Amino acid sequence: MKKYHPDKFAGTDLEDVAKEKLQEVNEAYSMLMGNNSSQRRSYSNENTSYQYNTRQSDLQQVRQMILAGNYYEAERMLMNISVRTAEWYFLNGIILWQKGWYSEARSNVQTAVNMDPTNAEYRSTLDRFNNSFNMYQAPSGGKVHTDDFCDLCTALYCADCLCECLGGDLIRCC
Amino acid sequence: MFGYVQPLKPELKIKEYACYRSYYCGVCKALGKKYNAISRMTVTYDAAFLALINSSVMEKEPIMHLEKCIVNPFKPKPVIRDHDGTDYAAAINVLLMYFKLMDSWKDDKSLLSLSSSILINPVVKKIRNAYPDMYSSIEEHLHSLSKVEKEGISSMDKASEPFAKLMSVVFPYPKLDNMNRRILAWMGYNLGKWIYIMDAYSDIDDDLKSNSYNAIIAKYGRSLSAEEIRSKSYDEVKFVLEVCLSEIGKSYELLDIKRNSGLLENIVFLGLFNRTQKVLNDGGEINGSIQGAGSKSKCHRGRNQECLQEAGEEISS
Repeated sequence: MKKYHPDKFAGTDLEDVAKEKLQEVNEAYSMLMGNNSSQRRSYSNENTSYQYNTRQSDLQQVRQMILAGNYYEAERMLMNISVRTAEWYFLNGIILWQKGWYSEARSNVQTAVNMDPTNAEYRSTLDRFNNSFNMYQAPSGGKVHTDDFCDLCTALYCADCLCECLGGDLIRCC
Repeated sequence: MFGYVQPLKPELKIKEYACYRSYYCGVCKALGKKYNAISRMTVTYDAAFLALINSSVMEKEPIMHLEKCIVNPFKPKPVIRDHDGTDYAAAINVLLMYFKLMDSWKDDKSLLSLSSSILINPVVKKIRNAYPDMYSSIEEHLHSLSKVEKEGISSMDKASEPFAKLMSVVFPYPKLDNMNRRILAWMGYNLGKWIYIMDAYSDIDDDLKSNSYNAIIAKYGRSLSAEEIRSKSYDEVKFVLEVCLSEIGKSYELLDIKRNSGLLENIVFLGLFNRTQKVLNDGGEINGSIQGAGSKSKCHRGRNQECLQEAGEEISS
């Protein structure tokens, strides 16, 4: 279940796919549990942080479009707004990130943070961008990069193999 | 631009390695059977990964045969035969190679490129008829790729976009279900971006010397030395590469993997990561060398990990 959690995919191209997958899993789960009311609230990703009031109603509309997943329209509209406030840079960052333009997305949100350092939303988004690599881990749970005791054994084993290649032997038993 | 996508061999099980080879050989044999013998020269490791990941979400179980070939004339090796995954990867492999040859003919007037592209031309026509939309889409993205070079674009995101888009088009096998296709398209997009930036970062030295276009040099300035450009761009390059990796990893988790998960996880979470580390740490020294060749003397004190990797690579190859 954890791997499909839509929060993990928030703001990326696969957000809706992840939601759909979770829906499937939830439905399968309620079937198994003999509970056929699959209309049970499965997971609602009402990300309220996107929905607070701003004075610029245009930017608010852009926000609504992003929330609805209509990134294309949101971008088109945003580009027509000439006053570039912190909010503008922030929303542009969100849109760019979803497109896969990670570098420019980050610098836009960084600009928003610089212009309005007190805004918690901008700051947390910047943190989310900067920490996205923490998500990179094999589903089987294997750590990607660790130094541990196994390495020592591997080292000995490899050394032994190399010695044997050259005609010697480091460890007799293997 | 080829050869970055490979497993981390020392961490593979031997049967996983055999499985990986069977896809590589499968693509090669598919080239021979469906097209012609010359096209078999074009087989790449990236095509093996393409075959592997598409086959792993298909319903039809791929069937292995033990077969000999020119490279292994005495000992038969397992080969995947007559499977949509390997056939598709073979077609894409030829197409990309063809466009690459045409490009180097246009750029350097290399006669070798021209003659090779003429040799695989009839094959390309066949593939063009089978996948007309894909063909025109690849052509379009390659056109914008050369436009990026001509205009000297200095944004990494903008510069990598055409190749990323191209990969998102060719990555999913067109007959897969909608959901898997979308996931693979996103995986392809991020893989394309990753390959493009990996390539740009490791080519800084060469591109400075030959005065050719490189997105990273364009952004950080041609007046600097390769070393300065590397250290100045390091943060941005590392950030983008790592986000790409995490998006590739997340897409992988969403896929309905039916087989070969151990091997795929190795490539997605270890192979790509290892490559990234190598390019980030060694800069231009490693030029997409397959199987770590050419870096044998690099066992420094305190870099035991690296030495072990290399020893493992040698044992397995």
